[in-house]
Amino acid sequence: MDILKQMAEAVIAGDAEHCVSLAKQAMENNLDPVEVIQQGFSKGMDTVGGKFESGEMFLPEMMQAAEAMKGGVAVLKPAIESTGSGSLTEFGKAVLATIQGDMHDIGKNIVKLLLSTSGFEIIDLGKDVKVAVIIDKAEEIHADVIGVSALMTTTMGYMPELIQELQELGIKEELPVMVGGAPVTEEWAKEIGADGYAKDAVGAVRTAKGLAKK
Amino acid sequence: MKGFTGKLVGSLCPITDEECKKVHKAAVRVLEQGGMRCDDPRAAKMFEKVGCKVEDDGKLVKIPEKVIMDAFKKCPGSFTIFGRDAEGNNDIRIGDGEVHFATVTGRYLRDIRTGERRQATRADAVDGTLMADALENVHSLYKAVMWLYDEPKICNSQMLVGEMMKYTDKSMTWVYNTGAEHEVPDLIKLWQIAAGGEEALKKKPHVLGHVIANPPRVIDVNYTDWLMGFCDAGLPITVYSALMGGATGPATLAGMLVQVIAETLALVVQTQSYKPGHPLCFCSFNPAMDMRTGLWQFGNPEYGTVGAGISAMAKFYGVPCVGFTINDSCDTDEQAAYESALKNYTYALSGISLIWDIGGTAGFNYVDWAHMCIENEVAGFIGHYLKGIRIDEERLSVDEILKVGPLPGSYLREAHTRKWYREEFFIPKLSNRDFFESWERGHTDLLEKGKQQALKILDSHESPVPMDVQKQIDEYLNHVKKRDVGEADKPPKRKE
Repeated sequence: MDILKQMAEAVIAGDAEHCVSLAKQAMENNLDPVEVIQQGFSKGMDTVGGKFESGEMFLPEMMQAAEAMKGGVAVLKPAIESTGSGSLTEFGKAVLATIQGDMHDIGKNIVKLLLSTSGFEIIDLGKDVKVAVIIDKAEEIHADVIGVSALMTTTMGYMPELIQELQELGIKEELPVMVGGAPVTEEWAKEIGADGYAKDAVGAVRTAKGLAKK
Repeated sequence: MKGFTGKLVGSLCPITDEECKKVHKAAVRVLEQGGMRCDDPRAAKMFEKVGCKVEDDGKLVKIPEKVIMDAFKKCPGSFTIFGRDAEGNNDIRIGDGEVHFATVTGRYLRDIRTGERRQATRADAVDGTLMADALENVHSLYKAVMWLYDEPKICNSQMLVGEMMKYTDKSMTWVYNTGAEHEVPDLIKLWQIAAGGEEALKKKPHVLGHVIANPPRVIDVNYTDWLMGFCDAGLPITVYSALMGGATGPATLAGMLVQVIAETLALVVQTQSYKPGHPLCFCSFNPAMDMRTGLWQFGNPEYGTVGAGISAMAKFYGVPCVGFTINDSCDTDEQAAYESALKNYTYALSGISLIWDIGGTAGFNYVDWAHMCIENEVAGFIGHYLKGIRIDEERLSVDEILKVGPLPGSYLREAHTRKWYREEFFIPKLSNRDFFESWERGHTDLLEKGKQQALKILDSHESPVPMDVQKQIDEYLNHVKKRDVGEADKPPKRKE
């Protein structure tokens, strides 16, 4: 089996040690680190995403796979940075937060892990984050996408507030917002003027990539 | 309101006495070695006062076994949540082998008149309260609906509790809702008005308060506010952890139980330090995480089993236990029915003394008054099961058996039959008992029967709360509305 295929397999198996050793092997063989990630590890994550959506794999395995991939990527990162041969964060920066008043951050953390293995640099503001704090940070670092989540109906009301605030500041065009969380629906996301919605973490990666490319 | 009793209450125990000791020891290890993070300096002081070790600049509390066992010595073994009727018919005893059922809540509902699924309003809170007031197996209430979508957030809890106080004299329970500035004092004021004053509420508390740890292993600021609020007002509380297996708790049932018990023990210590002797009970609210969606799942067997385990542990410590059931099904359908029946029966058998389930499904998302009528009937079934087989001379019926048999004798005309059948046999109101052929020719299905019962209640049931009390509540809600949003309150009219 060629090394790229082995890398994909190691991610699917969630085998962090194997991912690290394969990454080292790739470095020794002078393979292009960016290509190794895209054609090796990421292919594995694509398979995992598919298995998750078809109900063969569940969150614990998916998160283990993403962690394993992160371990392998960490080995390759210095080489990419020193040679400038490409970017690990081709889709840019994503600012993530659980919205004001809401302490439930399990879902946001799952999205964070998957985005971090999918070409995004993540700035995680944590939970119960005020609208103003999210906007300040997103502006400061020129975020490519903002992702906010809520678990409670009582807190999801801050999502339209975030979008209105961005509109009033005249920066909504440059800072696309995606929303998610149990009570949030696609219809509601549209209603409040959000740029994107996803019902789970795999969908969130697709949505974020679409928004960041714009 | 007398709860269900019988020899099967407490008969189901998913862990043995020896295993209870193991769970206790494991929970103590968690509290002694790891402790609880304490987000509130007031809470840290409460722990310190009774001999807990406070570390990390007051942010970590380690709780020794002796402190825990001392706290339990102060806890009463059972207590009463009172109804507000003069006769005491709606009083419920928490513990002492009684099992009660209560409503559960939702953000959405099926409009009983139009069939539309929609967001709940203040008028729906009135309907939900009247429904619960009328149904004979609903012993107590949770929030009539989860959220009033036609009222502002800042006073949402106040308007909800106000309407509930106006339309029932059965007891209720309260879990932190909006966190708005006046939420705690306003609700306590409304409960006091309903009870007839501050002292009257202390003497006959008609509310069970909830104080919840934030898993894993955190004592939360908001709930310390509520702990003090409930204790000061003289309202009994239930203390628990709301962990979710596989996310904020371990993915084994034993591990979930250990962490739940550890976090619950911490709250027992905190409560008994703040107010020694304050009545409290354990509570089951511990779903596992659905590993596909990340949502909590209440309908699975592990939810009922862990609940029964918490009940066993409560018995081990000598305090009562209450619990939420709730279902996962997004509609009042077959799935909601089997989830409800299996879990409520498991809970009742394990001796959980107050069960919040009636009328709701979809994990706090959906209520349906037709479904409430059906679950009221299921509660009746369970109450009947709990009796078991009662053995005494008259029930053994030997004289009757000797008198009537052999054939062609029949028991149908016997006075013994007339005396006993209504008590020994369950007589359902809604369940189908038709002849097969006549059912095939035409029938009304169960949800429709539930709907008809609900409409009848809503059309005819009157609030048992005296008009002068309703008026005082309206006045207070008006004060709240003016203060919070600067306009007069317009309570929904009962009838067109």
